[in-house]
Amino acid sequence: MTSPATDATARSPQATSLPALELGGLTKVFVVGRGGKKVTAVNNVSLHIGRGEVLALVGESGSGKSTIARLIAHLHEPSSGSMKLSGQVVPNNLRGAALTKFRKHVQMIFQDPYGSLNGLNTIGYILSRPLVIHGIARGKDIPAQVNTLLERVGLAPGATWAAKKPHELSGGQRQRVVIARALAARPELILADEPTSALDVSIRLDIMNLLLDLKDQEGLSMLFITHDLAGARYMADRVSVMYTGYIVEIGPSDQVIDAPQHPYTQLLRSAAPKPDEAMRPERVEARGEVPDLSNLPPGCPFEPRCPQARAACREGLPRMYDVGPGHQARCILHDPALAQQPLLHPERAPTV
Amino acid sequence: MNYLLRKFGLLLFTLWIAATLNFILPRLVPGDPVGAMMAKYQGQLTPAAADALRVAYGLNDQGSMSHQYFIYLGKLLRGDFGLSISQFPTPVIDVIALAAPWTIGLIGVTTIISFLLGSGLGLYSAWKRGSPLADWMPPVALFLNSMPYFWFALLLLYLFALKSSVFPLSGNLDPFIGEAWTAKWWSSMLRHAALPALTIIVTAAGGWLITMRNNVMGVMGEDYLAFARAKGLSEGRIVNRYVLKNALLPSLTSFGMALGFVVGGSILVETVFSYPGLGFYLYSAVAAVDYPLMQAIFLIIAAAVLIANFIVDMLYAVLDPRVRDGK
Amino acid sequence: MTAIPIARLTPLAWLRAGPLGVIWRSPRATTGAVIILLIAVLALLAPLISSYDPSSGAFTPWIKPGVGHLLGTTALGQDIFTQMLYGARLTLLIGIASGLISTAIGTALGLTAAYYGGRTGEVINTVTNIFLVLPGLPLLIIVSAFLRGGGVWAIILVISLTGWAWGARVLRSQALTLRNRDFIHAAVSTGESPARIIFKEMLPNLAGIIAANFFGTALYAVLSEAALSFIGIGDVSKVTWGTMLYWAQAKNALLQGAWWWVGAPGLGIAVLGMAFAFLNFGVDEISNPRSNHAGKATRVLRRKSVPKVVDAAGLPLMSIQHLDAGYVTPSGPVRAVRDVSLDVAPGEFLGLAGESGCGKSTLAFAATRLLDAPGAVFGGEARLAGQDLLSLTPEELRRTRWKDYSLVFQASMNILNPVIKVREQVYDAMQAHGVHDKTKLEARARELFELVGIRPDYLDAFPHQLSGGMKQRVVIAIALALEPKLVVMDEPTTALDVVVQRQILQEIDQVRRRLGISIIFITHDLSLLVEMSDRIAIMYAGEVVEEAPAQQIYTAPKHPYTQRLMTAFPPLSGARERREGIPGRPPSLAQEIVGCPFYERCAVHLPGTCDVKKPANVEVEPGHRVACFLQSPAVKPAVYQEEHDLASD
Repeated sequence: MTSPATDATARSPQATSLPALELGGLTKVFVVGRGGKKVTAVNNVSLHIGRGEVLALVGESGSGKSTIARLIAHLHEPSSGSMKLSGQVVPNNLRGAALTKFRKHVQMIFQDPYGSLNGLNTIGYILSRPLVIHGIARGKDIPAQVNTLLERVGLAPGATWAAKKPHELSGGQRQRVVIARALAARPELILADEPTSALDVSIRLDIMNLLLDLKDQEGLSMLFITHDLAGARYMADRVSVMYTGYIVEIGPSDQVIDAPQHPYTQLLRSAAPKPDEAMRPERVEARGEVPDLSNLPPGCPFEPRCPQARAACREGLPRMYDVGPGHQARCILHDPALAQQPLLHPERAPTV
Repeated sequence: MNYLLRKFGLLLFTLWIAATLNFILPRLVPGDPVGAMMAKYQGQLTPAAADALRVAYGLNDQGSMSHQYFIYLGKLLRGDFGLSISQFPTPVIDVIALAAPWTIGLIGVTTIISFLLGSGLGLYSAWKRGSPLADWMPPVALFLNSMPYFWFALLLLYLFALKSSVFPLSGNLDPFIGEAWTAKWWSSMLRHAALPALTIIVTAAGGWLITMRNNVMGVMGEDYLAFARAKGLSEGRIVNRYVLKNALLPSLTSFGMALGFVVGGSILVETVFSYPGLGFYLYSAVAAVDYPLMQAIFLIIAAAVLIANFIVDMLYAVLDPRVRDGK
Repeated sequence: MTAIPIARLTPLAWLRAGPLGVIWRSPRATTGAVIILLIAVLALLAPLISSYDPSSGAFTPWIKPGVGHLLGTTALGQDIFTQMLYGARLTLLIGIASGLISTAIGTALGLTAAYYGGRTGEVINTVTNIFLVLPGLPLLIIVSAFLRGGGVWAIILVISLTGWAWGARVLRSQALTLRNRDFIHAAVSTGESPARIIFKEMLPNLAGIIAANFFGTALYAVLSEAALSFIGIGDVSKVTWGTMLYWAQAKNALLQGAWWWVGAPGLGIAVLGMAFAFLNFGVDEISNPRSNHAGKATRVLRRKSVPKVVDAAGLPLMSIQHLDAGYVTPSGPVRAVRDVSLDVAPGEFLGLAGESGCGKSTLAFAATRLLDAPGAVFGGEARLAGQDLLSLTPEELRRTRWKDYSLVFQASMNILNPVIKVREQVYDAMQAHGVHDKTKLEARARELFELVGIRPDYLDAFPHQLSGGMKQRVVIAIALALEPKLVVMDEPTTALDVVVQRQILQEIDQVRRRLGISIIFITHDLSLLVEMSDRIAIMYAGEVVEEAPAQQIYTAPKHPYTQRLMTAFPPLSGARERREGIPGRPPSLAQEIVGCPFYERCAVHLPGTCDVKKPANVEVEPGHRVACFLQSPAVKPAVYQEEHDLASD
């Protein structure tokens, strides 16, 4: 068997046409508390997702990865920046009918299948709503369509499952319903916000495989948000790593994960569990924790924790450097001149 | 401090709303309030009193509504509430000055006692859940809390003042008691206050019991309690430092908010015992259609409750480190 | 904890019985409902029960309660019993109507404030707060005084307008929580209209709170009406229980000794009010179930007595033998841990892994006597250095726990007491076990903080000033305070980010090696466990199905479940190939399981064997135990081979 992700891209017929999604300088500033303190959760994010492509967004909590999905889904209004869906500009302040129409094209899958289904409604009702709202089925057609949806996500026979309420289902089954709901509107883009992290290990792969299969069958594009590098590697064609609202590295997933070019991605990789090596030899130099978003350092946001920090890191946000084909990293180490500067914290450097 | 400034802002704003309400209400009433009073007194109202009334309402003022309003606010700030009709020509402020200390003393002290007593019993009832005594407390508390204050006051009056003269029937002091703060004065004062106080404590404590019980049960589900228990802390320490400290915080919030209700109920107790406080005068003012007095007493009670609320907010800030840090 | 699947159902369960079902689940609410229904029936049937007219003064005044007049007569010669019957009508009407109106206002404003938030929310919030703090009754009195003569509906209106604020506040905070639930986000991103989201998605989920609020405001309305009538505001010519009190007071009933005239209506109000309060209290209690960590020690329900202490020589540090534990539920016991035997050697790091609901946390909490009710131990032994923890009295347990063994709980926001300083929470663990010297406490606390990698000046911080990772370090420091021989860790890093998780795991690994303590580490994250552990036990449906040294269980798992688990997570390196999860779900622990619990999901099961009897737990290699017929010498290896070929086709 070949890699599920790369295999899919190769098969996708429209890989070269207009990207499914393009974000240009997307920014979201939240005002928190009564003091009017401002927090920039997403900072000038530009990226694109090709047709039939899976882009993974990787980061720790507070990195802004979920906020991006909510901005794309228009659950929050972006503070600035632009967004194009299949080449068409989507205004930031969509309202009313235009917004409903837009929602048909972009659907979300949430993290916690216990929280994302209203416990009082039947599965059938939950799945009928997107069909009705977006005019996909009417009247007597609805139950048949609902059954088809359920069977497509592996819940057969559909009629039996449609009559149940969420509490009668296991976590994995609920997540299948959530996926079916997202598919119901026949969207082009799926935003999957940590769809497996609330599930048991034994069923995570099933859900990931289901998503990959559906993506292939429907020609969907997908934003896959996760904190798990291995999961990103399994699912995605490309990976974007986020830290404190910035993209710090983006590129093909085997390059970003197997040979990370940003010290933060390197840290994430070394921190991930690796059952094939006993942990004793490798000692991760991970100092401190993610800084307070309302009080970021002036330069590179990772500088305070970075073992490789140079003086230049404190002089403003580094730009994105090309580090390989379609692979960029926001780190001055890729500027040959600046990389010559002495280390700010030689004691943090890995002792090899 | 940010938190307290905000609370103080709300205090001022609410006071202003109450004052404005006071200004609007008589103007909303169909017809002329002075006319209504004239009718009520059927000619017993002297022309001087009627004039005073008009002055009190600014009805003699031919200026615009906003002009009247600012005159009214200005008078309020100077403590000028006009003249009382029922005790004409005593200024309303004098009536209040005479009555307020008794009310603040009686209701202030009893509210605090009933809060402490009720919270203590509520803590016991939640912590010892499953024991017969603890499980009987909530229904009894709910019953006591559902009794009309004044009705329980009547019962006490009947049993302890009428049937047996353990306590005096009415008033705040024996007549001709002489100088204040003497032993004789204290004994008379306390005997007069006993029944009203008992009424308020018994009826209000039930509410605090239920509130505290709910809060304690909330804390009993918290992770830090499971951790404290695992650490092997003694029962006393868990209750004092973990349960009580955390459960008191939401209780304080409820205390602030329920204060208005409790004080409202308590003032009726004064009327039953003819205890010459604000509640008693409010009752007399209603009976005598003495609008100026009625409204002034409302404002004073509102102000007192709001200030008490603000004190509770300050206490909260002292007890909760998260509030101090503005979280 | 393993109890979650059960707890998760409770808030939803009442809805299966319809919206009124909530009342019948609480005996107290049922009492309240019955009282109100009774009063309502008596009020409606008043003409049938009494032939008198409530207002005609046809009788002798001041008759004592007796046969002719059940509750006596008034000063005006009216029959009090008849007045009570008819008075109940208006009293109930005022209570219920005001309750409905103010609940409607409160619900509408609370929901609007929560749904729209922003400026609209702030304005509503401020208005609500103002109405909350303004003293209700005095406001009622002056408003009513000006609206004198408006009749019953004016009273209802005034009471409603002053009584809605509490409900609005409660509704708003509940709806705000609801607003941030994912199913609301899902409805929004599906394209549902705001009206439909509010009425179809949010409102039904708030039914319990709204009901509780209605009963609360009805109580307020009944008491307010009584108070207003008592001071003569409102229409005293109408008969309500409140106006009856007014007339009793006006005619000096008590001075005349007519206690019944005062007693009856007041008691009526108190009982009606109590009924509303019972409903409010009962509905609230059912809609917001609360867990309870206040029990002293896990109940031990085993039958035969076991020796309290046995000779520790030659025994492992911790020895769990045939432990049976679970939950006592109304529909019978749930056996979450089934006949589990497990040993921990001194200095050993034992990993305990399995899916959620497999009983791993129940096992750890039961063995350490920390399982909260309704949890209980049904049988077996748990010995620490020869001493049976299950036989200890609560006081003995209190002294043993933390000194001989300690626990690290799952990282959570509220794992530390938010209102006292970290220092006190480190100290009190030591003080509870006899360390009282201030300098010793200080020195030890600093030492512990350095051990787990936090600056000692954080001792003077409050928990909210610490990040999640730092809190968890504090918890670990506290667990190490008395140098226990064993630390049980229940998913200590699950809620944390990968980098912080790795930092903490490194600290744990260093500390346990330096101090030579044993650790039982519970997690569902196998890849992490393989890296950390000396030995791993895999649990499935309450049983330990395989137990082996970590590297061995990773490279050569024997149980089909373990085999599937080991490939059920995507790898970080190596070929990117498709992998499969484990289809199906574990069997319910509420039932008896015949045969192997993994039978249903197992691709290589042997029908006629695995589903008929339990596989024995056999040692296939030194230190490697498996409960599977395919590893049992009794079953032919050929069968296994054949099945295996079939499965991999």
